[in-house]
Amino acid sequence: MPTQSETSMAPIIELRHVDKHFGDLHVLKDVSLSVGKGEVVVVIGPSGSGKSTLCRAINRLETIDSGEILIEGDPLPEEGRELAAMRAELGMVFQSFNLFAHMSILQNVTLGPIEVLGLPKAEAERRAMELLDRVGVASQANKVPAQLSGGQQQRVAIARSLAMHPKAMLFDEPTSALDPEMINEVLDVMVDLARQGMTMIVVTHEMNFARRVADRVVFMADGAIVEEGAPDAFFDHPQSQRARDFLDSIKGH
Amino acid sequence: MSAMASNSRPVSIRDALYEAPGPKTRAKIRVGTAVTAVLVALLLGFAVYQFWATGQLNPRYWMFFTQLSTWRYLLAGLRGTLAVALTAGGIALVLGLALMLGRTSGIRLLEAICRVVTDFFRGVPSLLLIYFFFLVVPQYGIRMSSFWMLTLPVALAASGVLAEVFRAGVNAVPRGQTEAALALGMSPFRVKLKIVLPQAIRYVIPSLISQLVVVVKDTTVAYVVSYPDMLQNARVLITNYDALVSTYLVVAVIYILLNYAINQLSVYVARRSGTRVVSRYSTNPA
Repeated sequence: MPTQSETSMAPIIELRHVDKHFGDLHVLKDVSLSVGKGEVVVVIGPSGSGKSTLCRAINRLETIDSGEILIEGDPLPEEGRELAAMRAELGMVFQSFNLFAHMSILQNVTLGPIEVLGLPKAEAERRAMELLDRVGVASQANKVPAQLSGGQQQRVAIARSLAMHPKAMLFDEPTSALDPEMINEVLDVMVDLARQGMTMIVVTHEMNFARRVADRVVFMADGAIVEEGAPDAFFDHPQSQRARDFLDSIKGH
Repeated sequence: MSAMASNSRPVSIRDALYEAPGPKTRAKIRVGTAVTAVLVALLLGFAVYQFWATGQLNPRYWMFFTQLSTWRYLLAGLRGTLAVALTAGGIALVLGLALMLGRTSGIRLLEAICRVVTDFFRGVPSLLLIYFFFLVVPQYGIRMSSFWMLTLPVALAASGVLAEVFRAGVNAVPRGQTEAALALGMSPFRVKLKIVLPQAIRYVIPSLISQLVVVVKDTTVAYVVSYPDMLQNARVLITNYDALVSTYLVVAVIYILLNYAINQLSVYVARRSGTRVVSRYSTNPA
């Protein structure tokens, strides 16, 4: 848990009474959430519970109907340069990696720094290689994404986000599209990030990761936050019936 | 399943749509093939017989094809055809791209205008456009050579189609590519330029080349503006030698060879850029 002095500052990410509909479907119901600096918040819940939408709303890949999203106390801009600048400060890792298919691994990681931060190419490449080395795929730098395994692609995607020096990272089911044997290599990178103090919101089904790394677990169902708390407390003594049912349904194998 | 999943042979559309034939089906296919072969042979024989019966095989209809001057004249026409087709194709490429960018710009008025323009050029027969440039435009004192009176309308007609081809390519680029680039903080315009368009163009290059076939065929209305394309020059030969069927037959073969070459080029390009395009979305390559 963050220390008292950290929580007294404006949270890095704050949602206040956020509502969103997809047509008749009420996907986010009065969602409020606050994430402090260095905090790792893991969002879990059954599919269709709105957790991905919540994650995507934070950098406005999904718009919201009402409520407020604040980044370091400032409202999330709705468009234009201001929105782009805000997005540049939030890293995002997708379920399906979304590496740029027509670019090399190295270009994938240098594109943001060169295009958005205005870094010289040589400098961007030097830093990209450091990051690729850190996530263990430096030897693949000149390949294209299709030549890499899913686990490697996702680690490159994390490096691509880190290259922007983000204030916080959003992970939208980062291991859900991976073969089982590749899940750990991605989770290991995320554990390292958490240890180094990165602020993270992680939507995932990896309960062991949640228990091990999360400062706080948020349980969502039917578009609403049903319960949140420290991981041990949540997993060992869930308060709500929904959470108990959910945890029961994924146990026992 | 294992055969489908192995990387040795890519899964083709045919594999996806039809199951492999069994013994009875294979027997039926053999019978069908034999019957078809006989029918084709009969048809060819009948055609040759008709040529002979009507005197079209008479050497006087064919001897002038042994003269170099005949070929020189036809090839000059072919050069004219290619000049119009390539110029029109180039203009249509740029204009089609511009129309597509306008139509997907997000600016309502511009989108509406580009949609109307695209649908207009796509819907109006190119011959009508040529008449417009030939008969109407000069009335406003705009003088053009016959080359441009042919090339511009052909280019405009093709640009409408190419705009739709480009748009299909843009729509084929997965949404996640755009989202990932937006999440890096790139502006929507830069995302389109750097991420979406390069991939979209890779998708549609084979279709773009195939579209050149249509442009080549469109150039054959050159006679309207008396531009010396291959068909126009063929007409002159026909008048000179009084040899209609033989000349048209030779010219048809040249057009077929030309368009076949263009199609082969698009297949070649598709294969070269296609292997990467196809395999890139397998999330977990073995």
